This record gives sequence, structure tokens and C-alpha cells, in this order.
Amino acid sequence: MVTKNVGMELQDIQGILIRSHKELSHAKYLLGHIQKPSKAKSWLSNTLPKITNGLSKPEDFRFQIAFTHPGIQKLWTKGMYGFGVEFEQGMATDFRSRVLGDLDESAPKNWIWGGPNKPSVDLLLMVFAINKEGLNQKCEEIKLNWSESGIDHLKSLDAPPNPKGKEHFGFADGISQPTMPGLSKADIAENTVAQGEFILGYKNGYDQLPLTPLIKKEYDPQNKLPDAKEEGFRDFGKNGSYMVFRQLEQNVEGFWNQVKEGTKQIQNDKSDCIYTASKMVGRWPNGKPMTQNPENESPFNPKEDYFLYLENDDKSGDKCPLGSHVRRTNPRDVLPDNKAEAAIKISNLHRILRRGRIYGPPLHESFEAEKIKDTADDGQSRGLHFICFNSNIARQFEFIQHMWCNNTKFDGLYNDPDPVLGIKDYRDRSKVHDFTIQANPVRQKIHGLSRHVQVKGGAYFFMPGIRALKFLTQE
Amino acid sequence: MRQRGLTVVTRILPEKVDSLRKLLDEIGEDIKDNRVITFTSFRTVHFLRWVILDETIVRNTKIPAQLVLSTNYDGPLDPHLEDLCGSNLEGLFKIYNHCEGVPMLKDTKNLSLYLKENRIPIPAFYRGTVGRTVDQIHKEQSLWNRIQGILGGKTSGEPAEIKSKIISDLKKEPEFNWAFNKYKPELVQSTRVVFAFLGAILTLAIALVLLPILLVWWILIRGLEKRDKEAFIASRQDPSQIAGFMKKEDYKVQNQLTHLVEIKPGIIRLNTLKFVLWAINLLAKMWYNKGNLGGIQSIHFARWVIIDEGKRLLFFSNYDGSWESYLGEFVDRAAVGLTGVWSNTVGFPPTKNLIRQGARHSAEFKAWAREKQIQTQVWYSAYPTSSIKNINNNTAIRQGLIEESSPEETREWLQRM
Ligand code: HEM
Repeated sequence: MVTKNVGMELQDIQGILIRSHKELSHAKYLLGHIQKPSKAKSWLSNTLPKITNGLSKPEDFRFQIAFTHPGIQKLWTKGMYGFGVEFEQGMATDFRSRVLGDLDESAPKNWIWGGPNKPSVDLLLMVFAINKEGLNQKCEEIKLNWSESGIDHLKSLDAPPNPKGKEHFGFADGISQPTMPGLSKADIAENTVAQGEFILGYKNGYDQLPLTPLIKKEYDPQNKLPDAKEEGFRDFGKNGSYMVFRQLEQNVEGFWNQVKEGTKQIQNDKSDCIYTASKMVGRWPNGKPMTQNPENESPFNPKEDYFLYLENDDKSGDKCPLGSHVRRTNPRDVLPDNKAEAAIKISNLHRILRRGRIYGPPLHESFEAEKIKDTADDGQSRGLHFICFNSNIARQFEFIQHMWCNNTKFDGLYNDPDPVLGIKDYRDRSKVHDFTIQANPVRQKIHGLSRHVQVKGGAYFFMPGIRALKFLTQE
Repeated sequence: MRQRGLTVVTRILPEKVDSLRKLLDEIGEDIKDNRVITFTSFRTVHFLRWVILDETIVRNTKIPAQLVLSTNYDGPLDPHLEDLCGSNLEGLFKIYNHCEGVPMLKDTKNLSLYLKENRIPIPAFYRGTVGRTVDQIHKEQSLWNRIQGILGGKTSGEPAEIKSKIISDLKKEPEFNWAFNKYKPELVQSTRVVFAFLGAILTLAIALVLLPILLVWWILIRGLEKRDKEAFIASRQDPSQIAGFMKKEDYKVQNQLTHLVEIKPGIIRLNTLKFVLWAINLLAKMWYNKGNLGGIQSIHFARWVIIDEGKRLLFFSNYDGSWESYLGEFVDRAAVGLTGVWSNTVGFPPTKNLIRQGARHSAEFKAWAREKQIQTQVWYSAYPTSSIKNINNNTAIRQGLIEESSPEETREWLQRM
């Protein structure tokens, strides 16, 4: 892969694209609807100095901001060319509902936010803090400011601390992440992915500049934006990124009941539910890759994470099932022909920077899968604020969700969707789905998967660079 | 049996274009239960589509509206035409009544003849499921389903034991008798080796003889490319046009693409195009005949045809997965072949030496592909829930069923489940 090591303009890139602000363990995401664009602009102008860039690491609070397409249109009315079609159309269209699997209970019409027939979500402000009181107080201030600035506060989404780094089913999350070249942390070549796959204005995996939103030169007489490679235009997108945000609610008891039922079907001698669930995820609860240790949960050091399937002699999926969540969401060296080098190249054209956080309390305070699995539902809502960044939503996020997670034909399978997400095939609604566990001498099969992750809200945002934000504030 | 392609191009009577579009849309929106064509009566059809090419002007010549019928069928041609016209005579007449020269007499023979007379050659044709008939594809899928039932959630035992249990269970069921008949696949493995050998020698010989000609051609093409590059305007995605296509996409395991583009003027471009299509066709027949077209494993059938006296190039494809994944595979895996074809057409991203760059301009290429895509009014698939990989795997399972196998082969066979 050609990944030229070009220094990035960190001072112009919003910080969350560079780091996940883990030290600031309390977060809230505020959704706003712009009523009065000119007032909103002056709020933005005042807020601008507080927006965290890629160089600064303030210790008390960090702020990031992003806009949906309707939001950008309100702040800039003179036309912008070249946004991705997905971003312009938005997440809640019939086509996207089909391909992302947002059907039935997960249909946009049932969403708490981002769905149709509601005031549009125009902007998202992410607030990170070191403690809860500080966070709440800060957010109250912001809401007050908003109400004076013609911005309706639609919703605040909480993301409490998660010191164990687990998701609610009880598995370690946030381990695998692509690395961009040119940052302080270096990584092995297989996991180093071109900057332009995540940030506009840099070369992508094809060694080309990603498509970027443009503004006619005449509208930027003071040269606030950098020149675009297209004659007569300036580049609004430089140092920005597309942000996918989906609120995914998890029915933890439902998931583990399904695992128990499945464990019976495959007559696992040990009746070991943890084993079955780990096969579904592709990692053990502590994060140890199945492909490295298919028999039991051995100690795991996240620092030594990067692994390949073929080097573990796991072409067949006997160790890590072909249809497991992690093998689908990043097949690494196994697609299309099990030719490692070519496959890694292709997999790396479909990577995302994951920056999500969980919401709601754990079902069992220990956050141990072993305990969670036998705890009855407590009626509280919990799940994942799934957030990821990419430079081409169609080729990266949507591709992963549609062609890898939801596609029952993934990697030669017949009838198997992602077993963690459990999304029914929209192409054949009557189908009952399977989870196939490749094994010697012959596969085991769990029949009758159901869905325990529901979408409660979502939108496609654009997170502009600092210069571009400043550009939006002008009258 | 050999699968073939039929392409029929007929002129639409100018005053009847709108009503034809209405009729076809009505069929297309309800493939299952429309009142015009009963698709389930077709016995020989894998995929079928009807597309209207609107009236247009290409290089100062008016081209009237045309109707294109494209089928992928189990050969030979005459029984296929009989199948088409015989099973849906009324419906086909209703459609072709909108076209010039349709026969007065409403019978299967006349209509077949009409379609036959209006068919055009297919310079490049690709098949992903070589040699399998529609009937066979359905039967082999039911075989897979049955074996899954036999295996259940978990089966233990030695590989050979498991295999013989599968066989003895299947033998108890008369409806699977066919699976134990001898099966001779069309695939001839050895063509690959022979082809590689002959190909190498021939290429060398031809290259030597043609070297001077090639050199002249290369200079000419480089000149044209330079001019094209300067005149190139990148396509931009148009959300509303794309929304029109998306409305019809992703209802089946497969999707379809109809793509229509103007060929660049001049005999160099046209003849280069014809040569590249010829070469691709040859490769598709002799080399890429196992469901894998240079790394693309998602195409059931595809074809290129040249229409309007060498002015335009039509591309039809029936593929697994989404538009985004399909076009992505084009870019990632087959950019050379595609660039070789489409570099001879208008608006394609700049190329170098005919086959370089071009489709590797990923975003521009995709925008261009959408821009030149046209609506398909009617599209039918005989097996909307089967992927290429499924179909090919099912055939391998069926073959393994009756073959003697070593312990290692038995293990591999079981892995296919
Ligand atoms: C509530 C829903 C979800 C749960 C519980 C979940 C859980 C997990 C877990 C436990 C891991 C392994 C830890 C790691 O490698 O970081 C993982 C990895 C991953 N997930 Fe999810 N996930 C969910 C939704 C999604 C969605 C919707 C996507 C994207 C469409 C996604 C994409 C990924 C990716 C890309 C990886 C890393 C794979 C790799 O690089 O090996 N996940 N997820």
C-alpha cells in the first residue's frame, strides 16, 4: 500500500480524529437544531477557540463539533459541490434503511432522534470532561447559550466512564484500530492506513485525494480556505472527515438467551456459553483473538493486538468462524482469494476510525461476561453510541455494514448475517438465519438467529477542519 | 449445457415510447405477479432484462428510441426462443406491438423469427456459473438444503462415516435420485493449460510480426490520450439521478447494471475497442471460466455489445452484492481490463497506454459509471437468493457425492458444508 508519510496539519484537524480522549472519561453528545442561522454563527464564532484540535490536549474539557447536511446548508447558503451522496441524502432514506438493516423496530420512523417528521438534527457538539459535575455544569451553560443563539437543544446523549473498556454483552471493545502514518505512534505496515482514508485533503488508499466539498473562489475573497485542486474552487473539506453516528441499543439478556439456546443446538459438551459467544464475536471476552487461541481464554495484552488469519492457519474458519463479527468487519488477509498481500490491501480500503462510547449502566457491575450472562434484564436502556470516521461513507462504513455485516452470503456463506448484530436479510424477510461454526470434521450450526441490537437514532455528520469552521462563522 | 446470451435490439415506434415505458414499468415493479409476463413459465432463462434506450443525438446523427432485450439462457437458441415466445406469447406481443416491424400474425413461430432477425452479436460475454442450467442450479440448491437438515446443529464421527450417512439418507429420498447420476461438467480444466501454452507462443509470434504496426498504433493512441486528458471533465455525482437507481437496488442477492456510453470517434478507437473485447471474450472462455474474472467473483453474467453502427457501447451485468462493492471490485481487481475497454469511450477518466490509470481513479470512475448508467425497466433473475459462490459450491458438493475420495478429500468435501 502506498501510504506516503505526509505531515498532517494537526492544528487544523479536530482532536478526536487523532485521539479518543480516553483520559476524559465523561462525555455528552448534544444535538441541536438551528432556528436562526445568523445567531448560531455568532455562537459558533465564540465557541471556536474552545474546539479541540489535534495538537492541544486540554486537561479539563474538550469539545468537538460536527454538522449534518441540513445544518451546513443553513450556515452556508451559496452552494457547495462535492459532498458524498450519502451525506447529502442522509442516513434515513428508504435505500439506506434497506442496506443498513434499519427495519421494523429499528426503522427511522421509530428513532428517538434523526428520524423523519422531527426537527432536523443540524449539529452535534461533543463534550468531554474529567468528572460528572463539571460535565453537567458545562452542558447546562451550553444549553443556555444555545437558547439565546437560536439553536434548539434536541437531545443530550450520555456516555459514562467505561474503565474496563467493555461493551455491554461483556466483551472488550475498541482494540483494533487502523493507524495513520505520520503520527507519533507507529504501527506495522499491515495496519497502517493512508491518512486520506479518514481525513480529507490527504492521499487515500488509491494514492489519490478523496472527493471534497468545494466552494467557488469568488465566495472566499479573503482566502480563508485553501485552494482546491479543481481550478476556480476552494477546498472546504480539507482536514475534515465524515462522521457516522448511530445509537445502538443492546438487549443483553436477549443476546445471552440466544447464546444459551444456540449452545444447546450445537451440543457443546461443556455447555459453554462463553465459548459460543466468543465464536460469534471472534474474540474472547478479554479480547484475545479466537484465531490465536480457539480453545480457551488465555491472557491478552492489547498492545500485541495485530494478527492475521492465514498466519494462524485459519483459512477454513475452524478457529475464528468466517461469519464472526470481527472477521466480517475486518477480514484482514482472507478476502477474496486468500492471497494475503492483495487481501490486506483490499480490507484496508474498508477501514473506519471507531470513536464510540457505551451508554447506560452495565447489567452486572463487574462487567464480566461470566456474570452478565446469567443476570436478568433490569429494564434500563443501554447500548453503544457507535461513532466512526471515514472519508467515503459508501466505501467504508456503509460497505462494512451492508456487504460484510448484513450480507448473508459473506465469504461464501449461505444464510448467515453478523451474529452479534443479528440483522435479518432485507432481501428475503421470511428467512430464518444461521450462525455457522466451521469445525473439524464438519461445521456446527445454530439455527434461528434473532436481533438484539436495535437502532434508536442516527445521522451522518461532517466534522470540518478548524479553518472551515471559521469560514462558516462569517456573515 | 452451454449458456449463451441473446441480445435483441428493435426500434420503438416514436408515438409509442411512453406507453411502452408504462407497460414495462408495470412489469418491472411486480416481477412476480404482474399481469403481462409470467416469468416462472420460462424454463431456459437465467436472467432477462428489457431496457429502453431513449431517442438521442450522437455526433449529429439522430438515433431513434430502441428497445433492448437481453437474456442469459441455456442453449441452443431455437428452443430458447420457443420457450420465450411459447410460454408468454400474449405478453411478448403486447410489448413488441410498440416496436417497428412486429409480425401481424400472433404465433410463436413468427415472433421467434422476429426476435431472431433483430438479434445482434455479442463481442464479449462472461459467465460466472459456467455450464450449469437453471434447473440444475435449483436442484443443487435443494440438495444443499437437504444435507444441512441431515447434519443438524452438530454431527460427530469420522469424516468417512459422516459422508456415508449423508449418502445413505439421501438415497432414501427418491427426489434426490438425480444426484447420484453421472455428471459431466462443461468445465474443461485442461483448456487452461493448453491455452496458456498456445497463447504464449502465439502472442510471441504475432508480436514479432506486428511489432511495427503496434508501434504505430501505440503512438497514435498516446496522441489521442493526451488530447483526451486535456479535454477531460470529471463526472460529478448527481444525488437525484443516483437516488433513482437506488430505489430499485438491493432487493435480491444479485443486482444489475445497464450502462450506455458513446464510443470515441475515429477508426482507431473503434478498432482498438473491438480488439480488446475480442481478447476479453477469449480470456473469459478459456481462462476465466470458473466463476472468477481476474479476482472478481461476483459476476453471474456480463456482456458488452456495440450498437448504433459503432457509435455506442452497451454493458449489461448481473452481479452479487451492492453497486458500491461491485464497482469497488472493478477498481481494485480488474482495473486493467475495464480501462482497456472503457478508455475508448467518452468521459472516462484519463488513461495511459490504453490500460493504465483510468479506472484506478476510484472516485471519478464511480461517478462516471453512475453518470452513464441507465434505468433498466424490467429485470428478472431465476434464482434471486443464490450467490455465485453458493452455486459453485453446490456443484462441487454434488460432484463429491458420487466420487470416491481419499480421507483428505472427504475432509475438504465436508468443509464445503
Ligand atoms: C452494539 C453493537 C456492536 C457490538 C456489541 C460490537 C462489538 C465489538 C467487539 C467486542 C469487537 C472486538 C474488539 C475490537 O477488535 O476492537 C468489535 C470490533 C469491531 N467492530 Fe463492532 N460491535 C458492534 C457494532 C459494530 C458496527 C455497527 C460496526 C460497523 C459497521 C462495527 C465494526 C467493528 C470493527 C471495524 C471492529 C474491528 C475489527 C478488526 O479490525 O478486527 N461494530 N466490535
